Amino acid sequence: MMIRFNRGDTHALRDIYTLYKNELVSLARALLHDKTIAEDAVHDVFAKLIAKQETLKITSNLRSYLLTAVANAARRRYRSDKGHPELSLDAANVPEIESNNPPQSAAISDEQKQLLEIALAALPYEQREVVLLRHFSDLKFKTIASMQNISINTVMGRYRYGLDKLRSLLNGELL
Amino acid sequence: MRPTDKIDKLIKNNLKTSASPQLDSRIDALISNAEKTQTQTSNIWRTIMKTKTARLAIAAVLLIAVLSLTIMDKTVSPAYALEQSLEAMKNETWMHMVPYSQMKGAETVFGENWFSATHGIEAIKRGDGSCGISYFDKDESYSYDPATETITLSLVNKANIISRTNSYGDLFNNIIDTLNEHAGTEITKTAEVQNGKNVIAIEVKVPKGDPLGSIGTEHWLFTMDEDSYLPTRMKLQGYDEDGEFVEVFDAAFDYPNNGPMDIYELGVPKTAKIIDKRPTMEVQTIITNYHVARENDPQRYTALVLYTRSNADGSEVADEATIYYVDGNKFRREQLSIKSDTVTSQRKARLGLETKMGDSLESILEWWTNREHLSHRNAEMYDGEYKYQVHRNLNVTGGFKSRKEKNTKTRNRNSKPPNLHNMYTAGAQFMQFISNDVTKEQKITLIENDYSRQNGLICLQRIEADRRYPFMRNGRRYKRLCYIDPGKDYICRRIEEYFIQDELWKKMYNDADNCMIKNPDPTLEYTMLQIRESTRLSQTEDDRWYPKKIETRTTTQRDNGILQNSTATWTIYLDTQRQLPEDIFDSDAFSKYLE
Repeated sequence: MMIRFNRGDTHALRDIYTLYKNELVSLARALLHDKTIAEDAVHDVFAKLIAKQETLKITSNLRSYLLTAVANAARRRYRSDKGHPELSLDAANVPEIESNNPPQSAAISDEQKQLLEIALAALPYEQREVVLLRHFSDLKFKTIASMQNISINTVMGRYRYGLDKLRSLLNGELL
Repeated sequence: MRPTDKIDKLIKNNLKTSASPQLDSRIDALISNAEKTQTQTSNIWRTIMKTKTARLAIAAVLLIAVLSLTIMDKTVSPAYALEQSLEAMKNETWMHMVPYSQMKGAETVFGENWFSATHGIEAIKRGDGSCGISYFDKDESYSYDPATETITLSLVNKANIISRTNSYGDLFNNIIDTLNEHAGTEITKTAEVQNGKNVIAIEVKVPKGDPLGSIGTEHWLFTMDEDSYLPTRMKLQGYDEDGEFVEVFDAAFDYPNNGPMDIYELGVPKTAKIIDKRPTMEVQTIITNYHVARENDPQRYTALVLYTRSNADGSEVADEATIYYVDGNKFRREQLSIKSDTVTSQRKARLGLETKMGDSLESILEWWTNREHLSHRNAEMYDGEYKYQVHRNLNVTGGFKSRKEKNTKTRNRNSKPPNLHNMYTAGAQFMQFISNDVTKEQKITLIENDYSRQNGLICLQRIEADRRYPFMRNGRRYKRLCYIDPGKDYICRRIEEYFIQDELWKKMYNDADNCMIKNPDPTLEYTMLQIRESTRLSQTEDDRWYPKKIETRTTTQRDNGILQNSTATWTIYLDTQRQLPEDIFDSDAFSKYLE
């Protein structure tokens, strides 16, 4: 697929989108807490890929490249948007049960999800980004450092702080 | 289960979601649109050119430079849509080009070029009798000077070839852009007979006002052999706004089975003396290490280089700042000065302004974007595809003559970000120091002296005789010393330049043998002309060293013969973590910003 993309084959782009779309949207949504803005970020990435296809040659791992691009796009969106969705740790709202799971397990699952999202939202963006790229996208610290153009020590520092805060926020709730 | 595993499972199990059908539709629309545009472009091109090898006719003169590069470095992909053409050309044993060029008011320049991909040879013969031959596999380049009947042996000038390739490649791409995008261009295709052979002639007239017709109008003519589709001729003519001739380039091509294999086959006498000016392996290793270190320099940053000069009374004045925004190969550079009507002789007032700048990038950046006191000298931006440049008609401090405003936009596939005031080389142009394009009198050697020993530095010495030195009369730049710090990312910490009067130079240099006298008299006088020094260093967040402050101490000769000393300082504020503004590489935003 990457070879076809590098040769300018636009059909390759469709295949790339189909294969990675859910993962990319999931990462963007976890970073931005808003699915609409998250999908805008993913759209930005593909728009740029198309615009630069003639000059762009992807030489690294395609998945890592796309995750990096989405993370960068999400960061830009986060910084430019005026308001960021805020979730309160004290929010008592429990979402309606929509899944096919038995009612009780679905409720627990949705509650888990909401608590996790609230806890992630409480992290500074840079820490959240590192934690998600590490645990959700399985990227190595070295890759994350290269993506963000910072030292690996800084990445690991942000990861450590982020993880500690996440644990303390979720302690007793989910862990 | 370890705590991190629990987090991992929690995140993976709870954060998955699916792309909505709306996003699917949006992406589908994007891709469909791109496919339609691609087809349209191909159709336009096809109406002009029948086959892929027909592109050779347009890119004919580019091929020698591009082929040189691809032969030298097999990892380089010829990015100018010449791949198929180049493959065809590589099947030819030799390509022979006979060009001539002329600019209005200048003499006609004749030449003859050969290139062989098979042998990895490029040869050139000029109208003045000079010639040269390069062997890419052996990394040897021989250059003959008929005036002295000497052959200089040096390394292949890769930087020069890369530069030529980039500029020719941009020309090629600008040509394609014009053919595809500009309705005013007239294109005609005819069949002709040239030298008894059937050829296809493609004539392109680029009108005035078109980006490629910036000087007026241009007229291109390309011919190719009807049977082989190999180029036979390429001619470019330029005319100014009044229709007067400005310049011409005209080249004829043929494809012989044989070509020059050594410099003597170009007519060089066998008695010509060979002077080996190649740096030693030791020096080459140091230069290689320097370049490798530069590859790891920050690729994304915001920076401001503040220029301060000292006055005779010891006061310092901040005159000018250059702001850089860089992200990979994209960059934006703005050069700002304090308005002359604001400062005139009010240096104290300027100092007052300066003290408000602060010492952080943020505070200084904020000060220098306050337009009340400032004006742009020039600005440029490269968005990854096009380079935009603006030169303003300004009255700037120091009494520089104002220049005509000129906005240009050119397609440039391989523009590199400007080196922050050459900061990694103490403000000098390192490529000038270590360039492979050495003249007969230049040689780089590794030496040791007190300064290098005390500071743990590597010292490279370059002996040269350069009459074109701008600050002194009746003298030559004699030698340069460059001190490199291997413990701090191979930054060049200091460059010393020495000057010597002509009469003394003649005692040191044997003109007959065209070389330095082996044991020059150490008592001969020379003057240290200039020292550039990184007086303070700093590190980025990822521990890369860079010069924080560069000082240049210069001795100049006034008309009355008195030597005058002056000092200039450049302070570099660099931030690799600062977020770049959203639209910093957007062309519309760039235009509006400079209005």
